[in-house]
Amino acid sequence: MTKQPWVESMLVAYVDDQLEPAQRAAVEEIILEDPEARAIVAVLRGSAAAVKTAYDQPLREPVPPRLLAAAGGGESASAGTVVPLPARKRWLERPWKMALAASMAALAVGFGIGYWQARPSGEFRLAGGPADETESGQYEAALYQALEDGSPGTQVAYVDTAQGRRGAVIIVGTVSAGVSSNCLEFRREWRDAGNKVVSRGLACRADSGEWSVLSMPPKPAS
Amino acid sequence: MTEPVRADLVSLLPRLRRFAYGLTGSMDDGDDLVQSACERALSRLDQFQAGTRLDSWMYRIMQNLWIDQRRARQARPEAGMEPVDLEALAVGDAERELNSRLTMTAVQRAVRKLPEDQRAVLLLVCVEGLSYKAAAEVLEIPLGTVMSRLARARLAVGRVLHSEKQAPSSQTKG
Repeated sequence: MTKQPWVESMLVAYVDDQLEPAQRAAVEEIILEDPEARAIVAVLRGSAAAVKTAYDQPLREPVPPRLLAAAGGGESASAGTVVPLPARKRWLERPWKMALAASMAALAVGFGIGYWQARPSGEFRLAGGPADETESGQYEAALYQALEDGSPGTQVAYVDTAQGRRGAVIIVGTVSAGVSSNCLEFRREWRDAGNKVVSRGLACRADSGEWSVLSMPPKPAS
Repeated sequence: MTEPVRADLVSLLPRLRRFAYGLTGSMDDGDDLVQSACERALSRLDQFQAGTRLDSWMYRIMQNLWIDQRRARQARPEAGMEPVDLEALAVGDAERELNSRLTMTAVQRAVRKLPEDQRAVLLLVCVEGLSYKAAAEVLEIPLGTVMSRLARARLAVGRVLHSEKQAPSSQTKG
């Protein structure tokens, strides 16, 4: 199979259906007349499918957390780590009185939700508990409950007593084909001074059962 | 603009990993490349033109990083350069079960043996599904060059597949 390079080029473009109609007709004529060209076409067709299949492993596996971190964040991402989250069990096993007595912040930590908080400036930072006044224990509890259910459309409402805000966490669905099935996209909606605000986020669950949450900065809903 | 880009980047990760796997021939090296590429991209977000394809931009960054790495490591022998001994691999009763794995291994070896420029074209078009035009833009080469490199790469891989199909029968009868 040693055709002139330009013939091979035309044949590969023919196989991939990237030729103009006139060129296509010309190539079809060559193929009809030339058994060697037919053999080349067969080889070209077979190889494309084989190459595609040979590299599909990354699509069947979850994306490693270090890459999610590298894609999502600036400074913290270069450290290459996602905040380790205490497992849910640890909190549930506590005597309920202790949980009741715990402060709101401790409750949030107890729920085991840490998250990447994106700043409007575009820089990310890693947080192990409420990142600022906008992250309440009630929100985190609602988020956790929604993630645990996990089915698209799940909606868990919350009332942030400290801020006097009402909001909801809505599970959008599993993240587009290829990413780990352990990752969910969610939306958070709340009212701030009468205006509806929406933020998006991504939560991925490790084998150990812990959730890592990446949340994007809120935007006023239009 | 940066937040949507970051979100898009996260959703592109599986495809970037696949491209890196093809370029480097190893999942681990591939993930290192993806990580470096994400860090470089986020540090140069101002260079990304809104409205253009983020995937193409990322593929270009990855290909450039990979070429740089390869130059830096040139002293090292290439993992993909060992001779392909498919006949030896294919002998035995388990050959049928092994067949698809063998094909995959053979294809990966063939791809690793390709010249760097042919491999990138092959992966972008056959694996990532880019059009010839999009691949030409990523690699900053003319369309005709995409076609000729793609043809040579596909024929090289095709020949390996062809010989691999013939090898088991000639060996087991002998």
